[in-house]
Amino acid sequence: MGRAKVNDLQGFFVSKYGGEDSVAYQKARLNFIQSMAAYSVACYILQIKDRHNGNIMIDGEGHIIHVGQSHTSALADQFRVLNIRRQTLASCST
Amino acid sequence: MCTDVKAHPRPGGVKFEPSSFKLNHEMVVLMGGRNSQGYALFQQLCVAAFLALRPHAPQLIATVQLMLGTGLPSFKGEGTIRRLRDRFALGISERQAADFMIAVVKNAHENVRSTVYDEFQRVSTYSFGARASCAGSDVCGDPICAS
Repeated sequence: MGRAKVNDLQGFFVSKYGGEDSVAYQKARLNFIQSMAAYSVACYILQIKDRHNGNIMIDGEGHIIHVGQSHTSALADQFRVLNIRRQTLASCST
Repeated sequence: MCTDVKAHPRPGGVKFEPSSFKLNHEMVVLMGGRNSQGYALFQQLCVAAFLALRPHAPQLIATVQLMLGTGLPSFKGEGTIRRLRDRFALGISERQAADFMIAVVKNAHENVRSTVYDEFQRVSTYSFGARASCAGSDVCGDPICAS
């Protein structure tokens, strides 16, 4: 249970887009917030389930992308989407 | 896609995901924290999206209704439609609906059930066990890591 809090999404954004004050980081964060709001309302209304960290991804511009397990690997190949999980990021983003 | 909270079959029959949506600690930290501008913007956009969606509720409900005949496990007859309609909170004013959505966001924020569900998935699914352990090893068959 502690692990979910150890996963460092902000750390990933900083390493990928630059420091918190950089334009790229701010832009990526805005993309994240906007896509997150849209997905949140959609997930709430349609009660889209199975939303564990392995089913939520971040695209190259910082948008969040929700996937189902069956789509995960296809999407990852197609858009080079990065998994939100810190463990995966550690080995993929370098 | 699952439109019914209680109907989604999970390995081991676990049904404790929260009824709102996923908003965990690291997402909030990335937005800038609970009292930041970023989080306020997120809340504002959620409310705006919800209010924009409400007038279209009848069409959306009708679309879901068409799926009732498919017999898919997510669609459990009229109860599913009733709960879907309830989530739009159509009986209250826009002002009240805005407060309603803020309450939903608040409920989602670091929901214990969401955290527990993550942990459950991590320990229960073999492939996730493999992903969790791949960080420190050179051998990893995970398709995500390979891309």
